[in-house]
Amino acid sequence: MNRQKKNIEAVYKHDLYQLLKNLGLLDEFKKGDIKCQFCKDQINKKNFGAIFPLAEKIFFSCSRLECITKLPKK
Amino acid sequence: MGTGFLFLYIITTFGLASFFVFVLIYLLVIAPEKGEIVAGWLAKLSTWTGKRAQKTATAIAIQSKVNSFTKSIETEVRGLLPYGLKIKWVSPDITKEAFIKENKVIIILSHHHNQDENLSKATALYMSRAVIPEARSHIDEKLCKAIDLMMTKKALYSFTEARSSFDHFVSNVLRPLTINDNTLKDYCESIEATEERGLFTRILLKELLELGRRRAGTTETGDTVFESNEFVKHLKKIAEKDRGQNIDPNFLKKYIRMSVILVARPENIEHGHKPYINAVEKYGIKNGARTIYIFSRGERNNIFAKEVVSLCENKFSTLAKLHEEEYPTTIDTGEIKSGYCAIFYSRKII
Repeated sequence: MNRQKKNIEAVYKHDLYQLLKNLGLLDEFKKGDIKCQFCKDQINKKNFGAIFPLAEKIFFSCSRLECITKLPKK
Repeated sequence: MGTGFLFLYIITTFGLASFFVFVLIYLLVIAPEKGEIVAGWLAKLSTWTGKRAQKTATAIAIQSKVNSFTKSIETEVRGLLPYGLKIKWVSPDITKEAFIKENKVIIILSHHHNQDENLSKATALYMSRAVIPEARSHIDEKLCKAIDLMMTKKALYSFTEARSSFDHFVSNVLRPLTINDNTLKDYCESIEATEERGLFTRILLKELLELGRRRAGTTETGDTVFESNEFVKHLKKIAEKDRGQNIDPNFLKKYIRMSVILVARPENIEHGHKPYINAVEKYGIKNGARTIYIFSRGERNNIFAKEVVSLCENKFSTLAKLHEEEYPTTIDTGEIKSGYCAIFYSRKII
């Protein structure tokens, strides 16, 4: 029988630039100014893991699993 | 009746059209997790048609595997992973205001023929949110992390068709994390030992789940952190116990009160059911255990343990049998034997 589901929200990698543009972060991203909130590595298209808000600001996580598991729980 | 015979019976009795209707009902209503696997195959075949199909295939490939795993865990501990996983695609046209207001946490997924990275990422994230959420504020942070890691490992290992996602996880996450952190390594090793004996989900996670539920709404003082750490050490001792070695398998503390009855020794079994029934009465009823676990391994012991369980059900009206199952377990030589577990709850202890 159908069970309740826990949603994990995702954006398709091909849509990443569009998302960053709408959030006003594309230029920052292209300049290489975006860093992982957890390991402080620079984030590029290849290692982009996640994006999340915290205290009215937007933060990022690289794709390392160790960092992904530190994402805030909704 | 097997599923194959049932299908044959429907075709011969009601015709092919009815058969297809039955298959649809089966896949959509009776066994949706199997329907998800079939939908995944179909979506995979149509990925050449464009982005939409690729997104569907990516989401279904992850969901079907994780949901099959969570369903199998439900057979070990009911309520441990009550929610399935759904990948919800977010529109990239979302505004900054809406993104912040709706508190979106968005992961980036891509379509590859090899879905290992997506699968590891989604599984690890799901476990960190879905396993014992109520207990997390009452137990050691590193124990939480070890539980997440070992549950992710257990899930990825079960995806036999995507074994490289398991290898990726072990070499890129588990090993680097534990190599320089002895506390985390100790927790992971304790969990591994309990997992080999079938005690990880059935006792450790079940007791922590109940601890979280009972302590819901209270502020953590450190007592439960200390007690749950002791509990992990205690279960490790039980799991690593040598044949014939005497240890007290009961853990009767303030927050966790449980009793384990191991049906193992031939010399004890020769004395009949009474010593075991007395142990259930002594620890489970008189000493106030909330939960009593009866474990056995091997065909002969399993039959005997089932008889003990049946006798206890009839004798003790204050005990409620909540769970009973047989499962494969590893013995010291590495040989796989059939294990048996029955769980009683005391109706009197809160």
